[in-house]
Amino acid sequence: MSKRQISGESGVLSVDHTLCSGTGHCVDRLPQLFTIEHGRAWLADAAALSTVDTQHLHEVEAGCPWFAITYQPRPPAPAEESSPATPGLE
Amino acid sequence: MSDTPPTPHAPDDNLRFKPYTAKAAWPWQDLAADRATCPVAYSAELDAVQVTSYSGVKEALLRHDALSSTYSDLWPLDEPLPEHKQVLGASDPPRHTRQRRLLVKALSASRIQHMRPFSERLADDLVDEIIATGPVFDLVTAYARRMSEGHVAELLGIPSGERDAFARMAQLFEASIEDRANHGFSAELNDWITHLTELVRSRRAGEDTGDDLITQLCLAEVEGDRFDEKEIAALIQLLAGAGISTTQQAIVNLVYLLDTHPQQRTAYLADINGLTTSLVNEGLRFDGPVLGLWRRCLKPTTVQGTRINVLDKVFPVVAAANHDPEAYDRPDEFVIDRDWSALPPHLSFGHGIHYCVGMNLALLELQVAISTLYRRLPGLRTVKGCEPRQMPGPVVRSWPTLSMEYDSPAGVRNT
Repeated sequence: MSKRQISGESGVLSVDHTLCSGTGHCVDRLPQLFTIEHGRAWLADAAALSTVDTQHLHEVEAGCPWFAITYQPRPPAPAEESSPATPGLE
Repeated sequence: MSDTPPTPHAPDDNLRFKPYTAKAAWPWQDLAADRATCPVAYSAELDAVQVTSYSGVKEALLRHDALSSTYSDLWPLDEPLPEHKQVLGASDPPRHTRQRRLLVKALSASRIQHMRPFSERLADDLVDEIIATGPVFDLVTAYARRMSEGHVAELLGIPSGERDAFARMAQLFEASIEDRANHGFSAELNDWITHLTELVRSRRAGEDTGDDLITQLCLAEVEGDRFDEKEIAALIQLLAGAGISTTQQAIVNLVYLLDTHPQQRTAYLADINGLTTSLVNEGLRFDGPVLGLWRRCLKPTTVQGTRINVLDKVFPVVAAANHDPEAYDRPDEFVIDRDWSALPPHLSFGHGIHYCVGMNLALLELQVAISTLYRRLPGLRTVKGCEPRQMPGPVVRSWPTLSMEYDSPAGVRNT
């Protein structure tokens, strides 16, 4: 089943069907993630967002002439607190 | 071995596409010959790099980072357009992105579908008038132009008292294309910017409000800032001018195609409901309203591995791409029942960030205009001896007039 939104470790990718006109610029760039059905772009159910370089996700968002695609990168997990350095030993 | 990509051939006088000096009524054979010679070649006729393959045109239209859209109005220019005239198809990001964002919602497929009842009523009214005035008429002035003007006026919210004047402005664009040497009606079109700027001021002052696109553009804000008055005026002018002329041309081109392909016309009349969508796609592929688009190279780049130098003019020939045998089987045959779900999209709406923002409106207009016309006037045909001529120049495919007649009307109104 196709979806309008998928999420993975790198973030969330979605298609806004109120804007999408189904011209397939996304399919041209990332055929492994997008399909066109009934005149709109959909995200493949089995799509593995993690297999796609985040740069390409930003490009597919910027390349949609209808501004229908949004890629929201997941913020990096906060780093574990490390022991404060001991003054004078660096 | 050098890594430097090859440059296009030296200016080539032997290319056959000659839209200024010898524009062919049907240019497909000339464009095929040029594509076979070299799909990225320097044309002496155009003084530009001419791109004629499907993959090459698509690639050139995606190179918006290097190939600027700001150096052309109706003709290629030596300097970029003044900033306020850099709108939509004549602008580059980020300015283009900001403007386009304002428009996509109002012109989205889901929103435009709501205009279908209006569209059907207008087409029916125009056919009623054609029937009332007699069996011979000019398709351009009696139908295609009025269909196109009516949709743009409705969408933009042009005041009823100004609709004829707006239509006249759109015709100035067309008339100007024919008058390259004198830059056509540039002065009058500039006066229109002044008039439209006053309209923007009036809407912003709340003197005249509505839920139309002009008002939405006037009141739109991006991060708290409104758009410059002249920028909005130029946007309105472009939407009205380009929106009216291109769809009008697409309607006329498609009717003339059906007229010159009687077997396809017969097939269409036998299944109007089932074939209209694929017919319109095929019409736009075979003879869309745009032959090609101007670009100017602002930083070194390549198209199909061929180097494009800074300040080179580039002319992706959309019409040639649409007839490339690498993209379409039997490219020079007009086949109204192609399965478009299995074909690459035609490039008549462009490709990339400048993809025609009015596509959904244009498709609705075309589908309703053509299906209504043939349902109600199935005996439609060009008047015997009518041999239309193409408007000169490299940018448009347009039959400025098309004299038509019909046998007895048969179909009833949509509504």
